[in-house]
Amino acid sequence: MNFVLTRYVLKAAGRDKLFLSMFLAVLLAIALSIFTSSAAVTEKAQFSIVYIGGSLRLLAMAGLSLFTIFFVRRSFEARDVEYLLTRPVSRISFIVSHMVAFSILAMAVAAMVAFAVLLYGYRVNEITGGTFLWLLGTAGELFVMVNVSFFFAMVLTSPVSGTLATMGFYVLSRLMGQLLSIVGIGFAQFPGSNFLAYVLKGISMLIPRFDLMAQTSWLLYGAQDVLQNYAFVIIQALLFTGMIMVATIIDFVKKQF
Amino acid sequence: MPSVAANNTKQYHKLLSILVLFVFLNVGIWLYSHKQKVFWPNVPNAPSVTSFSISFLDDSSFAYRAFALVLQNWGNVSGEVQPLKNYNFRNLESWFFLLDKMDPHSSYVPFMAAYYFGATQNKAQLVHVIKYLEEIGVRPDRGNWRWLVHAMYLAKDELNNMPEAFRLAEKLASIYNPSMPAWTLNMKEIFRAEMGDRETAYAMMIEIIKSNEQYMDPAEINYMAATICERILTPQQAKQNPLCSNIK
Repeated sequence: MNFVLTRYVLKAAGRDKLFLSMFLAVLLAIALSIFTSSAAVTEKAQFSIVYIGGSLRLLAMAGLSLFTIFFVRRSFEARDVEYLLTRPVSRISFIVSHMVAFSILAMAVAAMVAFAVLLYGYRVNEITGGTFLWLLGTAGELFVMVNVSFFFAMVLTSPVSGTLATMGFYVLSRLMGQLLSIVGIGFAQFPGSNFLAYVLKGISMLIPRFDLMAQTSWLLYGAQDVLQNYAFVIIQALLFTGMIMVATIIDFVKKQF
Repeated sequence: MPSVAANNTKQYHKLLSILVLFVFLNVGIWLYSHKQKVFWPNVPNAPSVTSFSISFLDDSSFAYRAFALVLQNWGNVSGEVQPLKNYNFRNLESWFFLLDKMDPHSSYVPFMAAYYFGATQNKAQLVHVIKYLEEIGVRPDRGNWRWLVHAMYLAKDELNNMPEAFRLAEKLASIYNPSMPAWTLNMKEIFRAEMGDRETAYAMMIEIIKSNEQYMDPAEINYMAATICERILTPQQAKQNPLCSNIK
């Protein structure tokens, strides 16, 4: 772990105006959500809190992923990575320091989302116990996504393919519950469907369940089994990120410059 | 030999002519397109729960809120608003039930069904609204029985279908619990009594407001007051009723 490297990434985020852009995007998303929900005849507060929650989660994920992928690819293209590796920094330390830095960024953006949701929720009197669980789930989702983006940016050489892979991973993670239920019901009847069902089940073992991590309904109606959900969010985020970290280290250790 | 400046001027004029040509071609397209109106395809049948949920990345609350607004504005296409009688209510019913699967606790779609779609000019279409409100109304969830009472009102006073109103009254009595007002147990007898239709409907609506106020959005109370003053009471009765003093 090299704190200089971590600070270097955080400074780069400041230089790229990540926080300013995210702040403006958050303001825009809130304004748009309030405007859209004002068209509802009743339950305006519920409409706006769901729109704010849903849009901010997506926006934060997209902003962090894009920054991570383009920052890493730019570092490779400008030969910053090669230069940094000539310094007394091990490859493992290089990966861990970057992941710590990106995780700090994810938590900072999650704090921004939390501030916006809590402030608006307080204003419209829509804060439940589930709100805090949703905020933790969103923070967990961003924590996983920022490290997955780093993994794809390190493994794939093009920023476009890295972005597409990250978005594909996110969609798959959000839909994994639905896909597993389709397999479970067994209505996919075509030649080879059983084989595909096994493949999907195999993939699902290595894909986090984002549909269980930050459920928008928690913002309105709270959550049942709160402790179990808190534990699930934390354990899944840590275990999956641990796996991604080891995979990134293996790829980077084998990489030839 | 022409100079570079002359060549550039010539090229500039050529490009300008091409730009003007494209402007005219675009105006030509406009002459065709500005008269075209978006065709209103009516309400389609609702998709399956799975495919609907997948299209919103499995965020069912977001899907519910996004499509509840679509439902509200369905007949509003390129500035033209379709009357409710033109809607395909059979398909609309499938959307009610689909959205109910997305968020079974919200009162938004039941509210839209009762007060907006329930005001259709074609009374025969009300059977679809009644079927939906009945299903929501029997659920033991935060004053949901008011939707069953509204279904009863639609069956009796709008559809003039007394057997259906009696059936719903029996259902209302069967789900009685101590949090509900006592009159919900005796609706069948109230219907059979000499009381006029408007008086019964008025009494029902007032009781719903009194006993369910804590669960209802202020806008829902306003809509109920408007229903009472504009559809249930006669203009003379409405003038004398203090509830109607703020209804314009």
